[in-house]
Amino acid sequence: MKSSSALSRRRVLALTGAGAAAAAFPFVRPARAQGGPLKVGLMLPYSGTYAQLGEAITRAMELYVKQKGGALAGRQIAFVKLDDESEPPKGAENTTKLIEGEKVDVLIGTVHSGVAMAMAKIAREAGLPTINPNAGADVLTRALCAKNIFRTSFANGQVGLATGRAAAEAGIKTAVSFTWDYAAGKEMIAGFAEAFTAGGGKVLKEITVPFPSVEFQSALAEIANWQPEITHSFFSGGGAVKYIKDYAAAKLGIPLWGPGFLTDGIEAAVGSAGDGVKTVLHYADDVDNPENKAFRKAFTDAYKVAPDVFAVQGWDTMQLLEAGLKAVGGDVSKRDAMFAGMSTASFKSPRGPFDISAAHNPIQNFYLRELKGGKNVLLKTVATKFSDPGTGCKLSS
Amino acid sequence: MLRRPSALVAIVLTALVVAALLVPFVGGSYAIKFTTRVLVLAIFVISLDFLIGITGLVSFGHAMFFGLGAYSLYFISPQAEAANALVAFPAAILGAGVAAAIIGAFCVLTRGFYFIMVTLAFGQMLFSLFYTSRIAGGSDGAYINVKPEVALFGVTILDFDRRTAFYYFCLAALVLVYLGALGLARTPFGRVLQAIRRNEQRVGALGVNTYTHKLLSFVLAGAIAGFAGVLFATIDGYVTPDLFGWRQSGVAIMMVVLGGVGTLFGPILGALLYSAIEEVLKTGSWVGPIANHWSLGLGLILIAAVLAWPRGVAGLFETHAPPAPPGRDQPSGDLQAERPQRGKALAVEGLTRAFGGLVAVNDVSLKLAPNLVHGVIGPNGAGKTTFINVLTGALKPTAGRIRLDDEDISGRTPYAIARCGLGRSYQRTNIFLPFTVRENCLIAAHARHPSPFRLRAGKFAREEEHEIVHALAATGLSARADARASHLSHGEQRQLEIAMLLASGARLLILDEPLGGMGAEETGRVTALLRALSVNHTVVLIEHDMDAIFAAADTLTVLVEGKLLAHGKPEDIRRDPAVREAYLGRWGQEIVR
Amino acid sequence: MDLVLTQIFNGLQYGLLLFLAASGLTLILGIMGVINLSHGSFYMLGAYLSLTLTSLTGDIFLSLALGIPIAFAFGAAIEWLFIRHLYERDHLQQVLLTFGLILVFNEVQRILWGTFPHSVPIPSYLSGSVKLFGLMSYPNYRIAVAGLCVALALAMMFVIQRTKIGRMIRAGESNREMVEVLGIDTRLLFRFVFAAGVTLAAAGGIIAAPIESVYPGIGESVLITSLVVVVIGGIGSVRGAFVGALLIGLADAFGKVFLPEFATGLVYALMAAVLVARPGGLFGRA
Repeated sequence: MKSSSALSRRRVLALTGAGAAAAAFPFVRPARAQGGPLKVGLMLPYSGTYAQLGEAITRAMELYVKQKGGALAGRQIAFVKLDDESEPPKGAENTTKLIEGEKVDVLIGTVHSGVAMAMAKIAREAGLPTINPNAGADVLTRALCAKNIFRTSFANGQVGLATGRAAAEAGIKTAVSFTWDYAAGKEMIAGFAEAFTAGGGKVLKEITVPFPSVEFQSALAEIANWQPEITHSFFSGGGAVKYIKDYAAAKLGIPLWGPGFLTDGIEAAVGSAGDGVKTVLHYADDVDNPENKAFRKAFTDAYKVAPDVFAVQGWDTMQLLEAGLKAVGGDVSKRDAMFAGMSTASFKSPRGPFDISAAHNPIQNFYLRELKGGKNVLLKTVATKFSDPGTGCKLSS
Repeated sequence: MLRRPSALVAIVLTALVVAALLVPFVGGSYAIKFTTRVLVLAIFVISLDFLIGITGLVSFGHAMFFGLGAYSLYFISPQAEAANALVAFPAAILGAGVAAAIIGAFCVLTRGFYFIMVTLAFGQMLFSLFYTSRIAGGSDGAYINVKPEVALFGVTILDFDRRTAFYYFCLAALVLVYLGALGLARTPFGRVLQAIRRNEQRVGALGVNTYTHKLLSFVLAGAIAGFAGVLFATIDGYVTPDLFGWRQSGVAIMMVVLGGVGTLFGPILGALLYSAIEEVLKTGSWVGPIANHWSLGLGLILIAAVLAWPRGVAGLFETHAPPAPPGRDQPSGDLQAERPQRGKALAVEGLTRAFGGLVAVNDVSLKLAPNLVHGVIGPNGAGKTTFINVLTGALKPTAGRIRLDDEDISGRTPYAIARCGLGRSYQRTNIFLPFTVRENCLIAAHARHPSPFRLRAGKFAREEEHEIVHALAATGLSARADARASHLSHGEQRQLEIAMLLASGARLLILDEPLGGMGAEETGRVTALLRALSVNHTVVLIEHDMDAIFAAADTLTVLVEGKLLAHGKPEDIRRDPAVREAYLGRWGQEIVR
Repeated sequence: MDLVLTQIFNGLQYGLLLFLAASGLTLILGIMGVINLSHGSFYMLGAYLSLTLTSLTGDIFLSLALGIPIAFAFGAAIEWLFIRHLYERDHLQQVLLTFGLILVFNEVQRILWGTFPHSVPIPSYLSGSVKLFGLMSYPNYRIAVAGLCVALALAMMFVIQRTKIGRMIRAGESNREMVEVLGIDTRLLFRFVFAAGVTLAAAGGIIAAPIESVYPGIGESVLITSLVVVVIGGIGSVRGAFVGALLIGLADAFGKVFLPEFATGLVYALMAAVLVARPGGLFGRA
């Protein structure tokens, strides 16, 4: 009896020791070398339905840095990756982990808007340079803008507005909108409705399905019932693949429009089912400028797959970061100067000319494309120097 | 049953508290935030353990109260000012508690796997509500712009925007919640809950309304979870609907099971361990490329933990007391010391119970006088046990009336009938096996005053103690009082069941084959006990042991194929030709001596 | 009216596919008494298996034929490695262990197949569609899948009602101890039942792959919905799983159109309603 409890006591002590060691890990952090590599934290989804986007952004960023010999403005770049799993409740925790745990100098994130909201709250308080390479929540460069937070992608509403304008200009009179029931989808169809109605069109109905459900049959039947001139839909990633295939199989006879996310990155996966889908985006594969050609070649050579809009956003994130670093000679402690450099950044992106608005959102072109034979063919430019309204942002230019 | 933590556990817990006190001095601000999160999760998980480990209700939706508490901070906090924690925190607790009362009223009607699913359903419905509607920012979540503070008469005492201040507040909260939960588990209310977890049917049959007890437990657990939720919202000032979801509930269950179900301190260890493992596995600078596949490591660790430590981490702290030596004493027969009381009379009119086409109890009418031993015999399948089940309320009669003294108890619930003074034992011994003999009797004694709000042993403690001592003495189990019921011999277990009935104050005892499986010596003792009991109780017993029942019973009732064949004194029954033919004929050798 | 008819069709087709996954779950839960949270992972693994097999064989039905024995063997292996330790344990430990399995399977899937969404081609002989109710075209493949599910359902009913193994399953469901005492080797029976349950889920994943896109995380929603189906239908009842799955499918289809905001909640509300009316599920024992 005594021996068995002594043994278990030993086990307990061992366990306590192990447990204490484990619990102590967060307290022990590697010391930061001064003037060493610049730690750039990447809070992106590497699992879940947005994993592909996270990968694309990361690849482009790594390629950019590699092309520059591993350093920007004289500072070596060290990436620290963290999988945020596109889970909003862990967003705050993950952000804190990068900022305080890993002590990154620059924060880059994220894809999912809900996670980005959490990230923005903490990043704003922490004050470190933060670049958002995708999450399109309008409010991040509207009411919740901050001097240290920049976006190199788009605002959901901005894309929706451009799409609505393009549809109205094409003479279309009626549309039904269909998307996932979450902030990104809602903001896009809201932007679409605003510009489409302003251009003389009418949105007959706005249908939503819960995120990330991919059972579309019921909604397709409803769309068929309404018989609009076009269907305007926003989906991305895995859901978009299924949607386009289901839509084609339903043979509704109604053209499909949407923001470019509907087709970008998944051209190969949807195959011929996607032919004829018209999309509006701030990028197109065959945008005709030297930066795009060089970028596409380099990316395809390095990764054996063609880049998509998300990769472009990642690429431009590095361009923006470089602009900021150049403004302070690599010394990120000079924050205000760095932010000033970034707010006034203007460079040539594969997507065309890239400028930053007062609310730190990109001012960019928007293109109308059509998916044909696995490629998004550029039809025309529908907007130049198109900016998001930035309503409610208190930053002055 | 849950005891005070052993010395070893107390030492470890104290050490953890001391370590926690030192964290802000030793670690950086990230460490403080990480540990704050662990503390708050520990509070949440303790509340879940109270539900799962103490009451036996496995909820897969407990996070819904966590989420409600978190969101209540959002609703209460003004746009640009700090909410007063003295208002916000109690509001969150109250809100979560009220929600738990409403949702629980429905959920607690179900049991087992169905309870799991119903709680999951409600959690998902709440999640869906906050996710799809624009109530609070929908799927993107909502900000709490300024963190709450503790203010009295306009003076700020504690500002939770300051990480360290909030950290110590959470630490204090955790200690209070743990001690509170521990104390609660050891009140009569808490003990009855633990008994419900082990054997709900038995508790009901002793006269306790298990529904109200379970509901109260559900509400308390929900309120504490709400408290944890509002604290969680204060950590980052950001809430999302995923806080309501099944994944959040699932992770909480993981922590409870990992730590050790029902120990209350185990969940604290579970929360710490789970968070630490996840943190370590995710930190690229520590584990290198494995961090990309951290969930694989976590999954493997969880699997290994279940296989190796069935009782969780807390199981490592358990020391096993040696089984009590097999002493035994004679039943004291000292029942005269009891105040003489009148047993209950039982009258049955036209009692019928049918299952579809099968009539198991067929129009039975019977009067059983008080303070006598009444035997019920009949061939197998005669409907004896069904008859008893109807009498005790386990089944509803299809027709007929049952009267206890002058009170009509037909159609009442088992616990209501038990409260009228009717106690039963079962064909298969139905006691609380993991509890000691004394604890078994204690639960029965608690049933005398079955209000769920018994938070203090209070004024009834002495009376109950007296009943327990007396019951144990009467059945000869005093020497075995501290032995676990599962370690008793079969005969001793059956005696324990009788002791429980005595402790519960039942005045009409219905015993279903109390002598089943007993040897000759035990049979004699128990038969003597039953006769002694009839001085102050009415005893009804079903038996197959003909010698015993003829020796013990004052009257015999014969049931054949659900119908009453005969009723009367044993000698008359023995001579009744119809009875002989229908029943005794097959047993003739035994009876005709 | 067309819309209603179309939705009925949609709901039934979705429900039939759901039935495959749910039937496996109800058998495992009913006969073995094990709560297996990783059940959805088998559906997901089936879908990914379909990806690999179809790229090798070129035909989804060939993949199904190959995939069934693979899934069966895999299921038996998992039972032998992990599940059989759970029979004596309580529900909580089963939940914990199978949750760990979910994490492991998810990660293994990521390592083997990566995180990008994939699609599996529909066989060319089924790639057309049929004009239904004048409203929209319904893909032939979906109709074939629905038919296949019905055939599988009938086959299962046959096995359970008419064969020896089916008798043992029914006996095991009502009284496990008796079955052991009667000399039936419950270890083998359980292994068979578990493997069969896994195979059913995987088969569902395989044939659903061309109509869903294959990406990480498709297992979890299947798990939750299957659990709801099992509860509605009654634990252990294949017939109940069938009816329950169709009910859920219809509720889902109609919910999305007529009550879009509450669509997800509707499924759970339905389950709660069934539990109030019949606490053991529609075909279970209360």
